[in-house]
Amino acid sequence: MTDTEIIELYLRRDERAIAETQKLYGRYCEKIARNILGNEQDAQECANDAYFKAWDTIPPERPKILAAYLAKITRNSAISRYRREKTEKRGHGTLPLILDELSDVVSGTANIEKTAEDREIIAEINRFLETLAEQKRRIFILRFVCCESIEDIAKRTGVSKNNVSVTLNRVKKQLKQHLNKEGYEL
Amino acid sequence: MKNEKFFELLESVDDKFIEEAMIDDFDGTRPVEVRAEKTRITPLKIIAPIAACLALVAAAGFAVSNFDKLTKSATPNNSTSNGETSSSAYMENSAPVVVKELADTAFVNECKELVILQLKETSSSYKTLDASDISWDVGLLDMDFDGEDEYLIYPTKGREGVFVFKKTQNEPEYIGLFGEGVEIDFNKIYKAVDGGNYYYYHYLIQEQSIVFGNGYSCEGIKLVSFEQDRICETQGIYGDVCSKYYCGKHFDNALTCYDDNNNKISPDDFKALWKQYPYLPEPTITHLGISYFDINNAMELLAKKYGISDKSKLFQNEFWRDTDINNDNITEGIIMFKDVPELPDIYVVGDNGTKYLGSLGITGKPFNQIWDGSDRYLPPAWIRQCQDENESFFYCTTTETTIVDGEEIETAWYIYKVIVNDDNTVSGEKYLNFGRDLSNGGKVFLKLGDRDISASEFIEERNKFCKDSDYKFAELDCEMMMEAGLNFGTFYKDIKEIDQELRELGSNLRRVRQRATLCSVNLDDYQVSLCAENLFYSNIDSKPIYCAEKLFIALSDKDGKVINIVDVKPQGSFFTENFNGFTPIIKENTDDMLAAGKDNTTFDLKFFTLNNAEKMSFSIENDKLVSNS
Repeated sequence: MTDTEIIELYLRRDERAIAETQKLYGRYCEKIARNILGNEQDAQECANDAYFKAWDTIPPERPKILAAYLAKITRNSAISRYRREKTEKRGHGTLPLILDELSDVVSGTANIEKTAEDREIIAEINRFLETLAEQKRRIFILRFVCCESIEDIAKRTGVSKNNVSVTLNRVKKQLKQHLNKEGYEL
Repeated sequence: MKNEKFFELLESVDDKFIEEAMIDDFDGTRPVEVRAEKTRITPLKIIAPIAACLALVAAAGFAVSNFDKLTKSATPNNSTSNGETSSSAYMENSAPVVVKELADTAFVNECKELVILQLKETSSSYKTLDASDISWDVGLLDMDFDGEDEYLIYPTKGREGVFVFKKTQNEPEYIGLFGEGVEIDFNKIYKAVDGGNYYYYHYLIQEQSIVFGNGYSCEGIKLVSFEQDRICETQGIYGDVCSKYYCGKHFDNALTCYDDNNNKISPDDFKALWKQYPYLPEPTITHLGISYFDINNAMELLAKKYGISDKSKLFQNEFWRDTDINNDNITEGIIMFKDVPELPDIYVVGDNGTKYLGSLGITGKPFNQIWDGSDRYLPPAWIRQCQDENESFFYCTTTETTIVDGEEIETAWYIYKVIVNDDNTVSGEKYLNFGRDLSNGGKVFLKLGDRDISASEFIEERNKFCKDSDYKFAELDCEMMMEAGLNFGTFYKDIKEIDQELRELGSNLRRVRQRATLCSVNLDDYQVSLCAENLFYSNIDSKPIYCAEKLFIALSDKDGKVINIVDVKPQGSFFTENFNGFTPIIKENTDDMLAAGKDNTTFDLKFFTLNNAEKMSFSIENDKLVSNS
């Protein structure tokens, strides 16, 4: 079943939409959640949450790219769960590391909320990402949006873990420079 | 936090970038590359990894069994062929060479960059280090067991740790930082390589060792050391997993030592072996099995107090001991016994074992290892110091397990509160206890102290405990309470409580029980129970929906012994039939799903889906369940 057909099921309030979503994107959503939470069962629950969230939001939403839409819902759900359970001993996934890594980009003293509208920053980040080579862009997105481990990214992109680490480091520096140049002091 | 805020912002990047990045995953028919299994490990599941780990750590015991070979291997020209089986093989000429020039500057610079990146990932004190704290001009260049990969090992300047890199096509790959707190003399390192399934490197550094490799379930690094009476993993994930080579005084207070085949050897033989280990310190009282307080004193004290003439019985049944130093610098020890009916199980002693401080007054409960909910076992009694300023109490937790049909299952969970009095005496009290009483047909019990409490009281107390106990391990206890409660199933008798709890958690669909008894009916000579495995809950259009991965009916005899089980698969479903393979049950209260027939040998099972109800009929013939549907 194609994305369009699945979205059509959602729009018609046909419950098969959930099953088809799970069938096509189940592992994908679970993986994103697992990357953040580091726990298989929480990840499954997060993915389930995402299906229901999709059920609740489509319509009125009508995502252009269903996979990306699900990714964002899952990510959001997993982050919420992570916050709720971050004192929990068992499994933290990669989120703490990723947040730590991002300190390279937002290392200034100014409050991000005061320096610019979020959407302007996002637009700038999108422009920056456009300028990157595809491989670098994938590595950046996989790490900081999909929260994948360095090892998984290395496997997925066919480069060494070292290469991934170095690439991420360089892209972060470039992003910081780019944002600073455009007047965003994060 | 700013980082979090920025992280959230990244969620809004253009969808096309996400699609591009995860293009491999978009075809649902293609498997996603999944990293190492992170499934919540149950105590039973962990047995295999432990076995693997034991193999690894036991192999570390080669340090004792292969003393000569090790000694020889320390001398570059003395390359004795091992002639061993693959599991204990080690390399010839295995003494690594300290080299000054390990790699070109670019390579080292890349290593430095990796170290700066990777140090952030460590939670150890090394987090504060940077590349300048590493001795880049001194290190080891070594090969792995098949000679395919080179490893570069750089010490920290304080020589209390090493950074290991793998060299691939002249590119360094960061492997890890090992040996924190270990004083490392690079001239005194031995190496051995296990060529079996769990191959690894073993660097023996004075009395401690660093092991790293890629064995199944033991991937990564284990720091092992000689600790107390055994060779133990001290930073391993399995807690007190020890090699087979050890001496101890756990039995009859005589020093007993074992070789790699678990045969007893004399202490003199053990010491002789020990001496062949050139860099080990002389075996001390600690190494040879004496704990920090004098166990003799303690046993003497307890035997006298409880009128036990045969002191050996105490030694034979001692199960666990641990020590702590209190605020007044007095060493306190905790001793646990099992299977000594006349004794309470847990004692606290002080003053090197000469002073009886109190007991927890718990009798007749065997103590077993507990699982801390993550990926390791804890010692059977894990003393958790409260962060109360006065340190006036701590908790001690354990579980009780029972072998059922050959499987070890947790049947009860105990939390004790130990109060440290002003005069440094201690007294203990039962706090929360819950589980199944196997002597009473597996009936679930919930207790606060000795008092039976309701499920709602239990949950209230649990929440209080979890909220008030703001210390490191409280979450584990809380989680275990949840887990154990779920496993035991029926203490959440009122499903509305689950509903309320889940709503508070903001969850739509989540596993609420691993195993649960949904309802039971009593027939003349039998009890019939409807049970679920992996029960999930959801709430759609204000209707609670329960989905179970598996439903089955258990038939028990008068004594509560399960004599027959049949799986049941009702027809109809809210979701498509293959929705995760779950069977839906939609009902606010499952209590009346089973109904006994008039003749008390038949019963009906009712299922409820969103749109209809379904009935299945059963009878019992010759102690077997027979479906009449």
